[in-house]
Amino acid sequence: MKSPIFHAFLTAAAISFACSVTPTLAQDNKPPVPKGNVTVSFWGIATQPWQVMIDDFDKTYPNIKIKWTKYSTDEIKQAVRVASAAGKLSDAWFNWGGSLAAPYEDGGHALELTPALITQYGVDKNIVPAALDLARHNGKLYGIPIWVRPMTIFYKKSLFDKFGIPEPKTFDDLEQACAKLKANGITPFACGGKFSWMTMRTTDFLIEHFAGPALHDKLFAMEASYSSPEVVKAFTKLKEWVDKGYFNDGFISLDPNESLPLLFQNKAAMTFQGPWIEDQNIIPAHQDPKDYIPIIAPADQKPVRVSGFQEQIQFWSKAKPDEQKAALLFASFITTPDVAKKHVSQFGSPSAVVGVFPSEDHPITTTMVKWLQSGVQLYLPTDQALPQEIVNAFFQAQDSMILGSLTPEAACAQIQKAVEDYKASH
Amino acid sequence: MRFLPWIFLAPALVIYSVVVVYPMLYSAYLSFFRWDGVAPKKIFVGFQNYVVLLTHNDVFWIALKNNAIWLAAALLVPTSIGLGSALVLNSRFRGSHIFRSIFYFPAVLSLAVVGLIWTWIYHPDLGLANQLLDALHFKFLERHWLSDPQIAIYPVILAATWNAVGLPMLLFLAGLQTIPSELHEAAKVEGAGQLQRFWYVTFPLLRETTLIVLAITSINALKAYDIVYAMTNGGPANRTQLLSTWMYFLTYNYHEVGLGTAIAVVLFSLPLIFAIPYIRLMTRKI
Repeated sequence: MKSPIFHAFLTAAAISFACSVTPTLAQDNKPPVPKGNVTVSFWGIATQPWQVMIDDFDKTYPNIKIKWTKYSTDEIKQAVRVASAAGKLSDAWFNWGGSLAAPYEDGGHALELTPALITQYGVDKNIVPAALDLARHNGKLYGIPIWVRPMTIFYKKSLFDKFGIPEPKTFDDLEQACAKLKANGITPFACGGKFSWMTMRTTDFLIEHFAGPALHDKLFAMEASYSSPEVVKAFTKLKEWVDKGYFNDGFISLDPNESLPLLFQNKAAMTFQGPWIEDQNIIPAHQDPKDYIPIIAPADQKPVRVSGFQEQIQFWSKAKPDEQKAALLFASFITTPDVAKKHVSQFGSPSAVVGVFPSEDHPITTTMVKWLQSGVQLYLPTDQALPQEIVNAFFQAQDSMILGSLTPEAACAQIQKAVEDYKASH
Repeated sequence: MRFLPWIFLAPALVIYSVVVVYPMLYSAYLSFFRWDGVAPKKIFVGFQNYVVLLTHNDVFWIALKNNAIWLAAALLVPTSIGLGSALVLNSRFRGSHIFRSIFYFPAVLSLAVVGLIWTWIYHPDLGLANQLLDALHFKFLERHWLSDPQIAIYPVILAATWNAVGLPMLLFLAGLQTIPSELHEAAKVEGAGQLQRFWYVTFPLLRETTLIVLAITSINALKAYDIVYAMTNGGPANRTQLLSTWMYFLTYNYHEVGLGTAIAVVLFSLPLIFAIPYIRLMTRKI
């Protein structure tokens, strides 16, 4: 049996970013506007630019007030979980997809966007198909995608130029670049492994390289074994890179935000990140975004894929009708191309809205959008592709292997055991 | 009139029941189910969660061991430093009030802030600890303080200790000020030295304060959560987990509400070992 996530990959793989879709507002079938004063409770990440969009929405619909409660990344996961168990969710909330959203979708907490709602709120016309496919769960849509976030290797051009290192196009190039950087006293990768998911990006990339897209997807679908030789090779390579000093000292306990200064101070030359660092880290640190070049992580595989995910707004299925309508209207409003284009400079990272491109002062995001348009596909990161119970085992095995308390074989076997335990109990 | 005290107590009892007692009982109830915290159905598994914790969950034992180390350190280090500081500061030398404020200052910071400060101190490349060791030519002592699984829990305990010294110091100072100076003078006349005066006069009269300090310190040690969350997130590879943090991770991050609440029951039971004698002592006093 193939998991819904696996189906989402296949569908996403089949459809390119499809920015060729003509941007069209759902003007013929306008979404309903609640009468009277309505307050919508909305939970979102504090560092995301919601306020600009809320202000714009408030001006257009003065009878609707969006009350934004700000959370950090981990806080919002906890808040949604507790609130859903208590039956007190906000009318709308920001969420990721995959296994991070699945419990709310399966548990009936997130509103299913029926074909009628999809049409009524212009979702099918305004959102790029690839983002919709990444967001679908069991073939159904439970939210309106806002962003598509590819994650890949960034290199610091000035450092590469200084040591005469060419941009890595293949896996061998990447390894040669690492060796040369290390020989010149530069740490190849800046990484903050405190939460394990930043290290996981490299692990995922190595699995993509050694296992290839087909086996990688089968692993996510729990149809292949993590003890396969290809996965063991990937874990062995990760350990080899750690032992060679390709990651910064003590990276395993560093916060991801603490690792980026190493790049800014020319102590490290590469990092595995997403386009959000352009707005959240590089520009605020007065660094030149043109010096940080994202490359398609060279997995040497076909189809060409990088890790990535979509981010969406979900709606509480048990919200009062007017609040629910207003919440849907808000998400629909900010994802209409005209509005999204207006806010593109604040929006930053690749928008899921058709025909919306980053502003010229965002070279990183622009590059990544171009990849997606040219057919580069996305695979979900492990922490969204696998159930969270298995993610726990994956993180522990990965980190234990890095620390030397597990061999790569034992680490892979530990993950596979968690997969089998999960399958036996579900 | 017999019910009057209960009528006055009722509002507090209602609030306490709703926000403390009911969630505690409900948590204990949930520990008998397998549930992801979101699904409409909970599967009854009896004591299986407790069996899994004790027999299959390695991290539970790491966390329990860390709690034991933390407790031992908390009983020994901040209380000793607190007592020592209180003895010095009680001698009323010039500027002693300023030193009291300085020594108490870390206690006013939240543990999350303390965690943030010490995380940067321990930063392997940019942190004060390694840079200081380097400057003092003790390079061989430099460590990846929070990344080495063998030692990572101890730097976290040190940071917590920095924060925890203030309260025992304050309590001991208060206790010292209740000791009549005549007793010390009499002992001095009898020829008792400084150490003897401390051992035979001061320390016995601080008995109740010491018990209170030990009880509060023990309960606080078992409650420790935020500083680990802030400094290591339980890592590397779960080596700095405490029962409280592992309970949180299982419940909220890994969707194992049954296992998480089973830890909550264990965690609730442990402080009772210290809380019951403390409450009895306080009740006897009244």
